[in-house]
Amino acid sequence: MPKSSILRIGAAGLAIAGLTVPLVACSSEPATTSPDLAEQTIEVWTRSDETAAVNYEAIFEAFTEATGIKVDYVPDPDLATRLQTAAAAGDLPDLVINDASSLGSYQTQGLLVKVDSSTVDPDGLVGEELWESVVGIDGETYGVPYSRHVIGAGIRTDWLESLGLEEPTTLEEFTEVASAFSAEDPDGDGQDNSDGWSVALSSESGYAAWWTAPFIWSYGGDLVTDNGDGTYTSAILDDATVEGVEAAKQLVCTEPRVVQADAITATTGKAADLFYSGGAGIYSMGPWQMKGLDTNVGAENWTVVAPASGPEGTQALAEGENVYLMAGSEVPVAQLALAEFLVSAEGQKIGMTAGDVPSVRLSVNSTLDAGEVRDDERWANIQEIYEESGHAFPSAIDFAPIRSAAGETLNATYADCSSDVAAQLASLDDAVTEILDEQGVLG
Amino acid sequence: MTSLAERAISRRSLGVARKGQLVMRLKLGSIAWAFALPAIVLALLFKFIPLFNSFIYSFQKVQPFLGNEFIGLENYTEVLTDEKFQLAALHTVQIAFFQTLGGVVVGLGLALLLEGQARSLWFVRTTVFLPVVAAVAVVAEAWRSLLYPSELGFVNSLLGFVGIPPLEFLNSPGTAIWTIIFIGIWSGAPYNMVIFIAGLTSIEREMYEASALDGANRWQRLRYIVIPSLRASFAIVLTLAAIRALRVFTEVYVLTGGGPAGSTDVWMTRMYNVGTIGNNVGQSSAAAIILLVVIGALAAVTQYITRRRSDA
Repeated sequence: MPKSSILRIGAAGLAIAGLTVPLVACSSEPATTSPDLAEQTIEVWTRSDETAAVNYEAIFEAFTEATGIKVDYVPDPDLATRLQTAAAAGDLPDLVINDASSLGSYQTQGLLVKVDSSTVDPDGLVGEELWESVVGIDGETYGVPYSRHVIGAGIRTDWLESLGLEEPTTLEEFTEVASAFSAEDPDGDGQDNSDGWSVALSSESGYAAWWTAPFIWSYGGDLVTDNGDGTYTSAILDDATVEGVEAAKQLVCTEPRVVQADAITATTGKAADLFYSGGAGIYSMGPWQMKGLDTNVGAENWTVVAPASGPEGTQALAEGENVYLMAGSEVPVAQLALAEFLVSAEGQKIGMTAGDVPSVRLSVNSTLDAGEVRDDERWANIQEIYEESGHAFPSAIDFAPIRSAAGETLNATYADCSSDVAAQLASLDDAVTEILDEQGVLG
Repeated sequence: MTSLAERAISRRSLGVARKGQLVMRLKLGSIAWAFALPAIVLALLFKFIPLFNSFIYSFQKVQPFLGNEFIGLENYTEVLTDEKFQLAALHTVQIAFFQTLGGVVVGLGLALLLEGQARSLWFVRTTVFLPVVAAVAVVAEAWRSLLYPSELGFVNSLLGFVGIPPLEFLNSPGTAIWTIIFIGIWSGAPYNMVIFIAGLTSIEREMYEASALDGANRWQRLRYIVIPSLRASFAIVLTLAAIRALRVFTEVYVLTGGGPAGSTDVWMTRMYNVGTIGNNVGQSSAAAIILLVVIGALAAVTQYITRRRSDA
């Protein structure tokens, strides 16, 4: 072998060996099985980016201080994929904080351990209806409610003012305002560069279904009907559901356009960017985005209002995060200790205030009020919308495939303004029925 | 790597080499293996073991915490009879065909234009090659904003100057896939160009001179000298481009997420959705194995054809 190629191979080998070092360094330490709590380490994953992780870090720091239990914390914005990979490998973290709607999916895959509410919440500070929201399809409790919130409509108050418009409440008023934002020059820069409503209708991850659900509900329809006996049926072809989708489609297809030009392939991130950068006047926003909006848009220039109301009143998408105690953990006592801390007044308060992105939006702890803790009227708005109009997707079943199928169909419906809504929903109805049947919950 | 090691300890060398030489060769061989070891370990951990697992999963209903169930070929039948997978296969083949064709034509064109020693050419070649080096996700994001489907988008604002109303590009089911193919050609062609340039430099100058004396024009020179001489380059470029296009994922995922109306859903995005969003790892693995078999078969066929041609 010529000397030069040996050198070359050597260099390549060293480069690869160099790569392995950080890989090894990144892998998590095995949890200790020592009965002494203070020596235990608990591995926790949350669905957060770096900014949101700051908040969790503050909570875990306080937890370690209080109990001595160390936390090996992994934030990941794409937690669903990471968790699914870990589940496939049979190596889960000890505790996960993620969407409340994931409960059914995790539980039916056997990823969760049962929780005794009186152990985690001995003083009964977490409301009864919240505990009901973490009951699995088999009637057992499989999670601990951690935070709740509602998706409201973020709207530019300065734009409303400059065009002399009122805050909208009904779908017609929302459409009128969006049309005005789009057609006129609400930011007064002399250019035709403003869109009415920034929406995320990508078929990816069921975004189109997230956005459409409140319209369907406000018309009295739904995606699935909970029969109350552990079974569900598709509600896709109910007249009210079809009407709700038609109303939403009409909004997307309004000419001249009121939604942004790339709505049909936009994810929530893209839609949010447009609102953040002043390109659109209305956006379905979650309360964790408040600080970001204050920084980018200016606190005085926007507010949050209830979503557009339909014939059956206002319906807002209610969501939340649960604490999930994962199966196969070697530190079950530490799992419970951390879960208890996370819903305690101390833990929740840190979650509501530390950093720029609060992990606790509306507290599950009845001793804490969102508006009071933060001294911000908009948080009081969010709390009010949640209490009066909050409507959640079912969490006891694995709803993700249904949302994904609905997202794909709705995306197709919006992509073609001449499409026949009822015909497209008919195929979705079959798909949803099949999914429910596969999960063994079809009524 | 294997050939190095094999050479070092091959029977032929055992037979003829003197003892000192033999020790030397063995030493070199083990050094080579030692250097290769990290790469082999990494390939095992991140490629071959996952591949093996995926193969097993493809016959199972995967639910690690409840126990995986063997279900025979059910995953395969479900993938192959699923309308969405069929549509995704169609889109994938469409992208693969046109992207490969376009990539080869544009790549060859660029190679012919930019072959040579001049310093300015070196600069232009580097510039042209940049899309290949840039991260696919970044490239896709950049195109997404360039192609924004209203007069605010850069490309549409240019079209506006010549009186063309804003085009939908990625946002209409009719044009989205062609836009993706175009971006694929834009980012893939320079890679082909490099391979073609390497092929062009190996053509002997005398051939051109002889053909010039015979009175051949430019087109004839291309048709009878350049293209036949580039046969080996064509084989490499076609195989690589087709494989790359069949497993297209990032561009589609970032640009459209498979939409609008599923019009750009390809095999890999479908596989990803089934596995990570639908939590159906078994079916997703079956789809992966099918793709592997198709790509393997394609590579084998191309190899067979080019070998037969070069033997002929």
